[in-house]
Amino acid sequence: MEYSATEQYQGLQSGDTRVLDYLYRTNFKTVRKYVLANKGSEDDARDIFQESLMATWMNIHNGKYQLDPASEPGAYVFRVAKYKWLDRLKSKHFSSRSSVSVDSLHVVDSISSDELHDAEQNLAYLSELFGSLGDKCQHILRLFYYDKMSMDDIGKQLGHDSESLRTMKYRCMMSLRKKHLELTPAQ
Amino acid sequence: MNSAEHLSPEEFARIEAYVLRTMSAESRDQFQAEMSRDSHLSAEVELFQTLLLASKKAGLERQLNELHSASSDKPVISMKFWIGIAAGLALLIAATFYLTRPGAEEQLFAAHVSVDPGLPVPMSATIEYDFYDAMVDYKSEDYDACLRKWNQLLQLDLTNDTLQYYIASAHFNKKEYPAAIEGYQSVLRSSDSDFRDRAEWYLVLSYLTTGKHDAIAEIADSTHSEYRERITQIRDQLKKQE
Repeated sequence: MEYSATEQYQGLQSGDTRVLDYLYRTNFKTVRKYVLANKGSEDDARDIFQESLMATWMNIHNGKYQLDPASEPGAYVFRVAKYKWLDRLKSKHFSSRSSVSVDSLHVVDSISSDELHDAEQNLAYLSELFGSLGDKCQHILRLFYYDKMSMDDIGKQLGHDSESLRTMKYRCMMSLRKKHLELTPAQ
Repeated sequence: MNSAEHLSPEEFARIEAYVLRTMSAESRDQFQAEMSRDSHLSAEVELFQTLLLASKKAGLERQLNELHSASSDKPVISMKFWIGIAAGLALLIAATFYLTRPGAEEQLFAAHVSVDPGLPVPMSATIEYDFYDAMVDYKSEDYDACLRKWNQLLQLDLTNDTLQYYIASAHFNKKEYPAAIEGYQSVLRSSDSDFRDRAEWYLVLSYLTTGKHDAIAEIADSTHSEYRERITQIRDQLKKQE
């Protein structure tokens, strides 16, 4: 099945599994080819692709990447991936294991460093915040807010009655809120 | 809203319903009007959106990992390579199974064990708040936190069998079997406890995993609990294996 640029954009924003699968199938090959052609490994390609998809998702939520019917999200993901890979090649760690000349890479339509820097900072912050929760809380919040499962279904899966689960979810969100207020005292 | 420090379950539920768009159009208009007057409320909505994003980011990350694992877009590798890998894996599995095969007790324990899910916790539990507060920790598998709270409550009522039972169960779930055994035995000393049958069952499981077969046989001979059949089954299987 094909998806229009708008459908891809909205699907990525809402975490639609079918759209994510589509973006994966249609874009990973291109990113992989680029990374492998420029001294990267399979693992590098996978990491760069996933990081780029996450950064694109973040920029959709930040409003830094807005829907442009002329530019599909897949093309944006590829621009991010190229920028990130170039950045990785420039890093000290990588230059010690690679003989590729960064200047020799043909980088067009690159993304602005601010655009990516903010997305990466936001993603790192969200990871730190969510990582402060225990496993059970993480599981409940992911099932409810991302997978959009009902409290009854989550209760059945985890072996809790829905009233208890509602209390647990509230407590998990309050822990997350407390951590966020600690990390951003100015707010 | 007055305080940025506390958000009640009711306030939280309203904000969540607004952000997730599960409230009626009328309530939504009312909520938006309230937000325009109350800067704390709009700040809380913004804060909720950040927390929601943190949960969604974790979900997306997991989904991308699953997609990548499921992706068939793997590089082509020769059959010879796969045969070599398969042979190596078969050897590794055989060696691992031989070295780590579970003993009879371990197998029996695994076949019977399940975590006591705890008591239902109402959202607005004002009666016995401290007890239910710790029950949420128990259900969230934060056993250190619930033990700390329940042990404090136990100091005020040393013979409370509900506390004794759940303290023992928290130790059981932490695999601290000697402490669990001690707690379940305390429950059994109270002859009219509602937790008697369950305490006896978990005591048997604790004995099983610590190799106390004689104690299991003793219970099996005298029990009248709802777990009688399972307890005698464990005793008989242990006898067969001796």
